Amino acid sequence: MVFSLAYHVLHDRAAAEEVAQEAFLALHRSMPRIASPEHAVFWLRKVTVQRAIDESRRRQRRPVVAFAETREPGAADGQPPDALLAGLLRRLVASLAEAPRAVMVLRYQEDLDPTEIAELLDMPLATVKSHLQRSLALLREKLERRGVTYGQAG
Amino acid sequence: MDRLDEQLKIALARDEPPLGFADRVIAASQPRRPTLPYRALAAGLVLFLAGGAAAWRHHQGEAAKAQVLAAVRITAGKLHHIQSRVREVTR
Repeated sequence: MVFSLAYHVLHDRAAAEEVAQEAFLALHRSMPRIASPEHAVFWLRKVTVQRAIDESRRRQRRPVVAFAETREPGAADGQPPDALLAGLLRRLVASLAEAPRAVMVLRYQEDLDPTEIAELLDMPLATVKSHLQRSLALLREKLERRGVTYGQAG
Repeated sequence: MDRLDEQLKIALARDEPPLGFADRVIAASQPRRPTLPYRALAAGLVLFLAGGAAAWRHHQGEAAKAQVLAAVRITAGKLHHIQSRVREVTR
């Protein structure tokens, strides 16, 4: 979870490992203040995403997704459902600004609802919903330009 | 949930960390060895104690040497006195 969150925000495996390691070490230092396993998961998600966003901003660049970085999901069973499309979606999400990118990663990797994302990122609920809607619209538009069409969610 | 939602869930599925990641985190969480200033202080203390012991041994040696010289001087004086007495008696 931790490495993957950092990786989807940064799109750089080495930087993601560094951020993930820092998050675990910070958790180790903060252990007396952690009340429950659920609190630890919340804390790790929050710290990891915040640090990944900071690192991304510090680099002052949008993540560059190298060919080697586009590992295909589902490769473990040897049957990726749509490897090319998954790679394209990763690159498109990587091209979003830091805040909407973090929102998208928390929504689709961690399966959090907008309320949980808002709490985690200390962000108004309306802003989270706005990021999601705009990002999805942008992705649809970019996909359509490549000849991939999806119906609008009801 | 539409197809794009489903595809995003697949595209942004959790990714496994690199091999050895957990070991590196555990290693990084261990207390570190003393840093250079502490080691330098420790080395300085050892040198100071070793030097002090050598100086103490040197001091002890000097004192013993002075005692031996004093004893030799006393003995020589007594021998001289005895020799003088023997000469007086044999005259």
